Amino acid sequence: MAATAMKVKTRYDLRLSKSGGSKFIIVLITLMTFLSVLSVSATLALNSIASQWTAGLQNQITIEIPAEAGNADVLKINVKKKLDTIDTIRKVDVLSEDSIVKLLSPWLGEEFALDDVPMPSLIAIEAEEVTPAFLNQLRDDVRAVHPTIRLDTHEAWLNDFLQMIGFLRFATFFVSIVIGVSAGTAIMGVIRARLSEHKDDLELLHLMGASDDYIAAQFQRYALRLGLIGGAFGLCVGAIALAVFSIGVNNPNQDLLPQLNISAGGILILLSLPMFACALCAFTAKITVLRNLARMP
Amino acid sequence: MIKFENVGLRYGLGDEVLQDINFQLEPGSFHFLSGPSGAGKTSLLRLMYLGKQPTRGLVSMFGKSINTLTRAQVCEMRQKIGVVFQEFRLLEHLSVFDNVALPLRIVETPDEDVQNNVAELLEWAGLGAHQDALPQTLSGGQQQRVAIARAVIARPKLLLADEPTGNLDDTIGLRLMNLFEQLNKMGTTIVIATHNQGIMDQFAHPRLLLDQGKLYMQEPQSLIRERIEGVY
Repeated sequence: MAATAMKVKTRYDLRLSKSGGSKFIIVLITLMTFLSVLSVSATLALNSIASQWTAGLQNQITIEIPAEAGNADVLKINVKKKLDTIDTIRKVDVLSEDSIVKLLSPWLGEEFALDDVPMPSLIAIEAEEVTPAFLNQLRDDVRAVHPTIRLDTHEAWLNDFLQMIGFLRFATFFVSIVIGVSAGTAIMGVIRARLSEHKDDLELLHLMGASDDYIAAQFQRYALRLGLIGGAFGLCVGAIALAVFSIGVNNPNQDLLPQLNISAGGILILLSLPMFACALCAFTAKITVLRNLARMP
Repeated sequence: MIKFENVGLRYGLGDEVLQDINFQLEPGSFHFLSGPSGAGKTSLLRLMYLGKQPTRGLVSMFGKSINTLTRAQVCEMRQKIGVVFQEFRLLEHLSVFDNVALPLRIVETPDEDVQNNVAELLEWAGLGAHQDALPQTLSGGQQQRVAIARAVIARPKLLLADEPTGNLDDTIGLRLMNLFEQLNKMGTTIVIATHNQGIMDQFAHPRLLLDQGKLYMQEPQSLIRERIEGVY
């Protein structure tokens, strides 16, 4: 029974599993999956950052009363009175000095005092809907209190920020494509080398009536196995790297970077990366073998 | 079964190693292919097992011209041919069992049938104790028997053997010739390339004699003698 089981276990007609390139493919796929984990995580993180920032700033306007405008407390009260009369404004929040210090601490440090620097007073408002007409009316209303009072709709810098996020997302996508193409090309090279190494055996299989698909299936299985091993390793290494990175980013002492949270969907995408690696290996192997066998008699 | 018409074969830009080969083998026939070394026996066998296309002329196998076959049809046709190579061509990383099982696995024979048929044939060939051995651990004669077992395991319609008894002692050689005879009686067409005059004399089958790339058909001496005796 044991002998029978051993005979059934033999999977390859060609000595593929002992070939020198196997380790190379495993290392390559490990590296590819690792880089893909980083790249996909970066994309997911950027998506998360973009949505956090846009959601947080949607319909938000900051009214800025410059320090040189005069008595800030009086101006703040007058502006607030004006704002309270507008129905379409949901919330008005006059920022205290402590809040301003907290907001600026990531850039200026915890120790600075407002007295050291002339700082504007800020009033954050949340409107039902920010339309151009609403903005024009609001601008006129606050300027009626004092002509130097400004509105900050965050639009300009938010657009720049979103553009930058878009570029980074494209860059990570491009890097993923480059990683995939490079890995595919390298796998193709290794498979071609294996074909050349086993040329006589391939000819023998052909002479015994083995079809190209039969032979390609063996290479495909071989590449799939290596892809699975490399993919699993790559995912583990990537997960460790992400864990280390998230410890740094999710440090409560830093406020500049948003928290690195990957959703359940994102985790599923990351877990599926070894499958993509396997599919890439198997597909590349099959295509390469079929193309090369077609040239054989 | 096999029909060669004005077939020529050359390798690269060299001279023709086979010239104007014309012959026809009927299904169920048994022929010896003989001739001096370098006469082109292996090349002729190579054309017969579809390992090479002729440079000129027409080769028909199993009633079909090989020039018009699709790749899939070539595979199907090769599955009907068993070949014993002079240099055995066993896959060194596979066990004796797996080497012999290969033609069955290629045609996706159920595993149970593979186990039974291969084990039975290996027992018959005296290799039952070496099923799990790797070919390089066997003697030349044993390797040759593995190669023969592999060629016949799928009950081919055409069996081509290049010096199949070359490394075997007379007893085993005779036993294998009897196996070929048995296969032939079951309908397998057989062509055996050999130098072994004793075997050719012992088994009265027609001969294809190759000399300097040209083929001559020869009746066995015993049959000629019988015919002469019949006339007089």
